[in-house]
Amino acid sequence: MIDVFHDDSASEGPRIWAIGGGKGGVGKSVLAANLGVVLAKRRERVVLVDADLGGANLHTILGIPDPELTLSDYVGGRARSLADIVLETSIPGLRLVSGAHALAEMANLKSGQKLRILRHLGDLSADHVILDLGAGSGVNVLDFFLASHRGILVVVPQPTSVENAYQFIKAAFARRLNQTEPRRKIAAALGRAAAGAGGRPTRSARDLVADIMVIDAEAGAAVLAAAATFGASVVVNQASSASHERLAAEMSMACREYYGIAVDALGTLPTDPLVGRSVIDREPVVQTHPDCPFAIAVRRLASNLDGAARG
Amino acid sequence: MVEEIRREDWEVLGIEPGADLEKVHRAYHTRRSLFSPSSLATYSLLRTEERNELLARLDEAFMRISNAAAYLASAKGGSGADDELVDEALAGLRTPTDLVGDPGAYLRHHRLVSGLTLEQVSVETKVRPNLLEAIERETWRLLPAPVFVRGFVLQVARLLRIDEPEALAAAYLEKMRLERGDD
Repeated sequence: MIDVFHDDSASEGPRIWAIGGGKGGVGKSVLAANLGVVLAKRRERVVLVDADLGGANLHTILGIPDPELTLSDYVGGRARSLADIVLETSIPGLRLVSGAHALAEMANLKSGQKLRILRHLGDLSADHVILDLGAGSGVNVLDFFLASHRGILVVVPQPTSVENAYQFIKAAFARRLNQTEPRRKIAAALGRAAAGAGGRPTRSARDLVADIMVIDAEAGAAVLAAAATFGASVVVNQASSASHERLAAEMSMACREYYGIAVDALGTLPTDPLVGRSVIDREPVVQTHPDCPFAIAVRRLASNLDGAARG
Repeated sequence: MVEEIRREDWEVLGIEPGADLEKVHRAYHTRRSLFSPSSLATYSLLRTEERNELLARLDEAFMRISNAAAYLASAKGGSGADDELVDEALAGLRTPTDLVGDPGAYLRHHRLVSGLTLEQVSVETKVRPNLLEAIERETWRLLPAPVFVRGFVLQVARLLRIDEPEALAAAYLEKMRLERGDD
């Protein structure tokens, strides 16, 4: 499996947070930027990485209209290491690896290039690396999500967003199982479970685990462990009612009870008109309005991050 | 006699066996709302028949636990509406897994599940209620010599139709010997 951050030599490296969530326009980049500012203001060293391959706009949110170096220089071989393309921002302690202009090279990243990026991320001299992932459940997005110390799913309280989040979780979990040992046994047991060897339709990861346990106990135990250490969190953005406030906890419970996959509730961010304004003004709202409801919620979320890393 | 609580009832509610009434209610209402057709968190996750099945299981589990708790509380001379008695009754429903380590709790559990009060057991066994309580709570200093205790435990175990009364009595005496320091 892609486990570049989990070996001992990397244990001194940065905490890597991946922000994804399936649907576009739910506020992944806004959260990434504002979380980065909050952590930097705590005097921690932060590198934001715009891994929204083909749809990058973190630089715009941070007010850097035309980044001179981007991931495309790195992937194209013009820059030797990720450290060479890290840009300073106007906020001390906060730096950016931009994904601007990276469409051609980045959208179809080869797996060797992806592994190289993942390894270099762990070598960056920083306390936190925040990956802003693109929308959708493509393999690049899933691999960055799974290789992080914790994957953060951003959802808005709308059926389409919640649906996309579950689809993302399912896809990411399936990909994690592909990388989990004993691979062959798991693949064989999955195949038999899918063919109905458990004697009933397999509807959720929970059913799947029960079926696989019957077919192959060793594979079943590995799947169970993968589900329990999935290392993902939900953040509900644009909450504007009491039921929205409960959504993150309810999704966490639904994941546990229905899928059997550990996804915890990291926090809830309110609807705040200042957020939209800040994007237009190209300056993170926690910087311009540190006492607005959104900024307060991002700070609370940042404090929830402490101790939330996987593995 | 009411319908017995099943082990999976606690799992359906996602709480520890023997949780208090407030936890039971909270767990029930949280899951009712989670599985309701208007829930955003389970929209797209559950098909209608799955949703209905989950809700039905939830309702059954909740009914069995609350009915049993109310029954046990009323059997203790209180009312089913007396929260404290209901909580105590629920606590008694914690299934002791360890007959050897917890023989007193094991007896108490089986008595509560049978819906019998200490007084009712006393009528059947001719053992005084406060002595029965001391046996259940393993209050060693209130208990007579081992040979009598053995007789009482056997009588109660048989009354409650516990599978192996001899094994339970032996475990009870062994624990008493170790903790009280009898020969």
